[in-house]
Amino acid sequence: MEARQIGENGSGRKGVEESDVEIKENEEVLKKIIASHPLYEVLIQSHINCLKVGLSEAGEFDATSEAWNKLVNSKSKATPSPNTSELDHFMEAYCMALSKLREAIEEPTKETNAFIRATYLQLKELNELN
Amino acid sequence: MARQLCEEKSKDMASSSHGLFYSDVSSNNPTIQPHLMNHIQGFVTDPDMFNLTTGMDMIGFSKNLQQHSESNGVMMWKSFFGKPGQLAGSSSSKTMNGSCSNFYNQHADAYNTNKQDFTSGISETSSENLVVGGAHDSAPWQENRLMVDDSSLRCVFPCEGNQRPSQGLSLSLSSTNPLSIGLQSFELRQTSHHQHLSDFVSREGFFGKPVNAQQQQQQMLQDGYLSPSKGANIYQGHFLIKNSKFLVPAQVLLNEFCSLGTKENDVLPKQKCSQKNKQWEEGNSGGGSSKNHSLSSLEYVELQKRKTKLLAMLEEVDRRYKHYRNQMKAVVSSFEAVAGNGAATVYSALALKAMSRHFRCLKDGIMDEIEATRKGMGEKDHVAAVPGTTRGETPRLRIVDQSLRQQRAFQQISIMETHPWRPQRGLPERSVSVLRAWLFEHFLHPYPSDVDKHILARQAGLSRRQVSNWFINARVRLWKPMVEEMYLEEEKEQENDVASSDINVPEEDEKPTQEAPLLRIDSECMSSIVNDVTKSGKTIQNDNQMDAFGSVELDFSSYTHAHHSSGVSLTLGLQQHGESGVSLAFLPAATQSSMFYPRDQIQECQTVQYSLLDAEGQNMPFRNVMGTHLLHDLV
Repeated sequence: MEARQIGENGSGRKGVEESDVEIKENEEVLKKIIASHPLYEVLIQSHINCLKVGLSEAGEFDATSEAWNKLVNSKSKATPSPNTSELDHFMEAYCMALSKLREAIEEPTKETNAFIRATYLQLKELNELN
Repeated sequence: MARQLCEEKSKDMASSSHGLFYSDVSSNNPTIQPHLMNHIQGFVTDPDMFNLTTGMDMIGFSKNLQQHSESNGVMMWKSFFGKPGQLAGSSSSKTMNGSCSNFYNQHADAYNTNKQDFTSGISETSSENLVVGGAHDSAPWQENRLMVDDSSLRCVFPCEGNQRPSQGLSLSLSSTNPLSIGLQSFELRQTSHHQHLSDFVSREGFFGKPVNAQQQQQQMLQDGYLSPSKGANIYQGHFLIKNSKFLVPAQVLLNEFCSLGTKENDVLPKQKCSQKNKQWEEGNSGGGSSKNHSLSSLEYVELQKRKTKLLAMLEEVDRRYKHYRNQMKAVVSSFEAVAGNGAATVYSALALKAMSRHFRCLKDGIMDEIEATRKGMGEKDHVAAVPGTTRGETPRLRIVDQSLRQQRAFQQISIMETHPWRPQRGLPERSVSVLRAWLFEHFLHPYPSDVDKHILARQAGLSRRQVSNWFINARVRLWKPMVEEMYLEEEKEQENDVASSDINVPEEDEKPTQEAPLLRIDSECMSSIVNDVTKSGKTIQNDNQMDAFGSVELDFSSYTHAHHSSGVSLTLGLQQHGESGVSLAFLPAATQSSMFYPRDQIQECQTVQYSLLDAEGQNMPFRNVMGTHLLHDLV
């Protein structure tokens, strides 16, 4: 409901500067709405998992995981209003999309890592033979 | 109906086989090249990789299939693929995301009270996951190949008779269809409170272009993703992430929460890479690849084999890297079709960077090995063995000599390319400076004799003809304009009747004070000294300038007028001042080559003073030139 009102308010024709300010305000309000959604943590976890695929070392994510734990502990879990079904759909779909993206990135990365390891082994064998 | 559609689709797939990759890895196939066999054998370390049950688990079949005996292989296949509605095994992927499902269960209790069945899977049954190429009597089955098609998976099992198909499972991601690479269609099972997620999730890529509900239902029924019972309850609307107003704020939030800098991440892979390279270097130094003694034919053949293997590995690495990049591009493009442009670059950039580093290290290692092998074979500087220059035909020194010649030729070619040939205009500056110095030294009579021309030619490194031509041109271009300018100024002064008051006539018997046995009259060095003008208007000269023998002072103070600024004539090296005169002094310079005369000869030559005060008896253009010492030609 809030999101719809925001969209209606921001659609009025005003000056360029005023409209920019309104758009920024709308984005800030939308950010707050998204951050208060119960699936926001799942979204962030999916985001982090997608980023983790590209990192070889798990220890490189210490700072992010700490921030994540803080956010989880301090987060007040507000129940969503029944009128925000569009946001529910979006959050679910985006979480799913990110999880599928992680799988899609992970698959070729794993294949390629296996190939690289095998090639290293072959090089080692070549060195030992000669 | 769905059965017929499946059979028609499988026949089309069998005929066209777009997106299907079959690689027969069995040893019976003689067409496979040996180095490729080595690669395949080397890359697969797990013996269960080609196991059927492992492959089935990867697709989604449960492990309870292993209780079937090998003799009942055909019955097993029939039981799985005979009827589309038959339950054969449970799906292996039930949760939305394995890493976040526990968290979701903990932190979204309030949300789950309304929507308890928020789980995802490919489908309830594995027969819905897979589209099988017709019955066992269809064309693909007769060719002993069973095709399994999924939107994210392209598998081909070679299967011979009743044997268990345990060889040659080839899994690959098709780059021809970028929207379906590695992406499975998924659905959320709905309850009365929660609509189906497939309403706003299309199966093309992650989420594709919106289609109406009937088309989507029919497509998913046809592909086996939905059972007919579920297909009736599809939500009529279609939700697309790309068009959502929440997308940009959500992406901004995610980037604010966690945006990785890559500087810290660069350290560890580089260290690993350097360690691996060190290991390889140690292996190369310890191994027999760099042998100094002369190689036997067997050793040479071994090294040749090793080199070809390494080159094949290098090609394979390049190919795999390109393949990986294509895969990532396809994944990114399919995700960006859902979430807008640039949405996936945050995630793919890190993976691409890490993998490119790994590939670079691997490539460097292989290149080091190739280099060591080449050194062992006697090849140098990557010069390929040209026919006729192999080791058995020519000695080693000749090969080295040829390589050096080639290098020189390449260097000359590169020089010619960078500096294209163009004809040189004029003479060298050093030669011109010698000739110009003589010209100004003999300013009143710039006509060198044959002896002068000979000496100047030797000094300048030119021929006598070049010297003669230069003087002809110089008299026209340099000397004549100067004389004419002086003459014009003199006429102007005559019109104004300005008589010069200060006349500096030096003594007649002025002799050089230098004590050296040989004095140089330097024809190359010409320095112009500008007289300083005091407040009283008198000209002050340095004494040491006049001490030098052969110094000639030309005082043109009477010819100067107001509009002359202190400009420098580039051709002559003369400085012109508005108030003071110009004096030319030819001083001996110790550093340059010159003509030497014995001291006694110079003393015998008396300085001749031309008195230009009496203007009536002499018809000369320089009548008002005062205090002029001219050195007589000593030649």
